[in-house]
Amino acid sequence: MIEPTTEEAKGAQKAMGFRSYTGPLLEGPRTVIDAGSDAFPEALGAIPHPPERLYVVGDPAALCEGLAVIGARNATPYGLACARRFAGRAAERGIVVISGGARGCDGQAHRAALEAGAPTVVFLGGGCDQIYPASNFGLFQQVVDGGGAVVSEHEWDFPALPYTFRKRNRLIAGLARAVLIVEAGLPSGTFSTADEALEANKDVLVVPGAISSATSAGSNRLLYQGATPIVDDETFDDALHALFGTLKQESVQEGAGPSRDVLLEALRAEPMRLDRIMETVLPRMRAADRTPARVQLRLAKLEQAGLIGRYPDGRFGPLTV
Amino acid sequence: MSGKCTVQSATIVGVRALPVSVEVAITNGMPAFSIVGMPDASIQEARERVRAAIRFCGFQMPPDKVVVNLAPGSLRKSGSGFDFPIAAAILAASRQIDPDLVTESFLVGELSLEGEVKPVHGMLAHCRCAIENGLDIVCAPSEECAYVADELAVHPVERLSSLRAGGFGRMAPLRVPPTAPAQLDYGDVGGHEVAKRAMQIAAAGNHGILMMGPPGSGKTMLASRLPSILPPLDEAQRLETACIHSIVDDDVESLLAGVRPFRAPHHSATMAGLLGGGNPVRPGELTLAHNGVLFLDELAEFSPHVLQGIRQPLESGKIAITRAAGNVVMPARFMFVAASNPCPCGYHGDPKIPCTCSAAQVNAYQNRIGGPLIDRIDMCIDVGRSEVDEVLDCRGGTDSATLAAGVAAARAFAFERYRRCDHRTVRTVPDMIEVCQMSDEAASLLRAMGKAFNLSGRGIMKVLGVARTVADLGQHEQVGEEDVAEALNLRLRHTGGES
Repeated sequence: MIEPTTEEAKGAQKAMGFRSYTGPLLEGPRTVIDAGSDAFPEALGAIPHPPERLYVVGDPAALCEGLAVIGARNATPYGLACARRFAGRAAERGIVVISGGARGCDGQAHRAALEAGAPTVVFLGGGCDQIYPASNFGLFQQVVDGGGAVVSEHEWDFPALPYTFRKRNRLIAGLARAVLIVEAGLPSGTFSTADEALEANKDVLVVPGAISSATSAGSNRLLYQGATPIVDDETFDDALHALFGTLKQESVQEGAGPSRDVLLEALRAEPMRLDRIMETVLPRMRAADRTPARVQLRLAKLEQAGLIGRYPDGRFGPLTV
Repeated sequence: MSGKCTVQSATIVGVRALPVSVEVAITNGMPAFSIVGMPDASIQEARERVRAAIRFCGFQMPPDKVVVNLAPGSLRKSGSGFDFPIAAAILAASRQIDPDLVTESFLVGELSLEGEVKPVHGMLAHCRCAIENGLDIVCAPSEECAYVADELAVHPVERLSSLRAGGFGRMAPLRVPPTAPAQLDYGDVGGHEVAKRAMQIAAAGNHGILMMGPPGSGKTMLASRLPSILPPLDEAQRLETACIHSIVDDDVESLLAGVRPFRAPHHSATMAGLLGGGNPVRPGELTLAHNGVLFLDELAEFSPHVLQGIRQPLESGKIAITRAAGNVVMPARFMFVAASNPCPCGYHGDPKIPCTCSAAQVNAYQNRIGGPLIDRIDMCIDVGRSEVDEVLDCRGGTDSATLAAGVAAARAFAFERYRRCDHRTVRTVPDMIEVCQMSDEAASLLRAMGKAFNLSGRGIMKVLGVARTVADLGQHEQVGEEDVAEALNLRLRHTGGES
């Protein structure tokens, strides 16, 4: 496919009715890396249709092989918590977390890496001066300030168009040694990145979800197709060890250990509306808690402890994994 | 020939009939017929109807100068209800009928050219005005008047020629059916037990409630059944509410039977349609919902400035329409119920059907109802789509009678509590904390949740108010931990978002 020029792309953007980004620009060292140069990441040279050059804001040295952590934009708290947990764990072991800087899981992965004090790489759909989503500008500036990089294969001012995001996915899959998918519906952009990863012969790690959950349908399908399941910290550490040679750490189970709380366990298995909780969980509660009022109280307490939360449709579900 | 006569009538302003004296003077001079005293066009037209009706009924239009004055002169009068009093006053002034027949009475009605007396808008309001002024009413035989015939002498007149008889019959009082006509029942709603409970709490405490949910989830069904669990209107409220509805020609039978009004204006409603307006000022939907329920379906589709317009009435319970001619104040104390989809396509967060809206669209949509209006709403519930099984099985679940009994008991309990505190109204936070008498665990739970979810001062007040109602429903003097927990669950939305 012949690449459109920035002007042509801007015309297309206007024709599609999207507004171009006019907010503040990222501050930091800017580098353009040609495909032939030494600084060009080797891994990106090896993928089908490699980019001609990379436009980087931040430290180009951050562009090393790492772990891509991706997931749905309209993620459930479950997906967000998984992204946070595993991206943070990888970053603690010094692995660069790569993602697409989108809302939802991507943003959480970058944040978790920053909190762990590790560099992280954002691949943008448009040029680096056409931030999308604009609401993540603050996060991207933190990424640059934190020793990471915001990267695009397009010129600085190239607009973000729907197709550029799909193309961008191949770079995420290409630079990463493995792709971890925390939550993906069907069909979804996340699912397409998994296809890119398989095409580029990369490992695909997947966090499973409840089979009743539409937001995890893509993830579960990938597992069926043979992706590596990540079911707890131990399996994740094993995968990191195999991929990056990191040392395994003995860790105590935190948070996710099975608890005695019938209500919490039921919600971890499947997010439920209050109606369903009253119908299915209430009869299984301890005798002292077996009234609607006590269930409401237990819910409020779990909510207050940050263990469960309310989803946008009013279901209660787990916030931690 | 000369003579004069004065009869009483009234004109409708806002939701009330204001008394007007109709004075007729017949003097010698050039034959003429004029009406003075700020009449509007429909009263000016009365001249032709009165002239024709008088002739058609075999009376004679005095061949002199006839002047009709509508007093007080400063009040603008409107409506066709002056036809009958003007005609009767002319006949009495020219001694064609016995003046005693009409001078001590309140007359209202429109005349046809053949002299038939017809009812006008707001017959009940006119009756109420007659009761207040201690007069008998002479009007067309209308069913509305029969409902108040036990406290007011109603003399039905079918034709202008009946005045010749020298006396009137008296209308027999019509009893409203003691049992309310069949209403929608919560028993028809399958599932949704949690939403029904929320409705019960809202009804018990008169709390504003917002329902969010995808299309077809039953929000409208839940709202439209609210009148069935609210306590019936008391005597004074019945007459007051029925008067308002009679002005806009609504059915008043169920209101007089004690069923609370339920108004569900369409989202294309204008400011004047909701608040009242026009010339003469007519009551709007908020006033029609007085003592009942105002249900705004698809809240986000209402025009924003219209929604902002209902904020002030929500707080003050009345609407003041300000005109150059003066203020018209109309009552508007209602229970506010609203429903909305979570996003333009309606399926945001639905576990089965994917939402096609962008995050920005969802935000923009929710912001339309957010802000100041949502602050006036105490409770917010999510109504999910019922499973196919639940709809088809339709086990019914809790019905209205059960819920209504709980509401009545809670209201009685609250009233008893209120009576003990010398009827002090709760306005400030310390007052609210005092009436709640929270247990220590309840207070610490509220404190912790308030911190965790950044509840505003107003938000805490709302939670306390709802918790108090929940405790009233359980007949607890003290607001316990469980009551606060339930109130919090009814207030907080979407606690599991992105940081």
